[in-house]
Amino acid sequence: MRAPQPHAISVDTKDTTIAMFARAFTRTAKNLVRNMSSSSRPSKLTGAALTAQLNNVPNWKKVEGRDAIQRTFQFSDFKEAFAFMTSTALCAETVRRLHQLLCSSSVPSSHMFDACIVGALWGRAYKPVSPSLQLDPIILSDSLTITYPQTTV
Amino acid sequence: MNHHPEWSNVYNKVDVVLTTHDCDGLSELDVKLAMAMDGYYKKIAGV
Repeated sequence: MRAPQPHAISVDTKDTTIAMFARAFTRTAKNLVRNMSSSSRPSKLTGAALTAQLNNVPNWKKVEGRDAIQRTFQFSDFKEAFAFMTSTALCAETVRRLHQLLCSSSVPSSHMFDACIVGALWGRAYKPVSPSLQLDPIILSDSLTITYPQTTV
Repeated sequence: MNHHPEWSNVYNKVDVVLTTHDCDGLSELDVKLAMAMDGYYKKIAGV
């Protein structure tokens, strides 16, 4: 039997290493995509969990025949109503994107909602994500700043 | 995709419905957004 040439052995090892790396990379990438897509998707609230969550918003009522909640807000004039809608729009536009990003990081997703809620309650402007989708620090007040990870999409 | 409310506005009234289409029901997103809207309402209308 002819002994293997060192060169041939070296090539085989290299090929095996590359193949192993490729398989590991593919497996890791698939897991990452799977985890990100599942964790960024909100889960449906049911049973006791739904009841507990709805206790946080007692002024909202369940919509008959739908899995939805409803509330009517009344203001003194159109200007106030519009200001309310504008503030809500800024928050609503931000929360889902942040939810998707933060669920794939170590930062609890609840922090982004806290930013909206605290900003609303304290009457302080918060800084939403920039157009480039880089997560800048969100300023809640003069004395409180929550810094999100500098992540780009 | 962002999380947007269904709403309508006539003069000084804003009627809001929240649900999450991704899970075909209510999720934590709806509750948290509702809490944020309650906060905005309190701040703007003083109620």
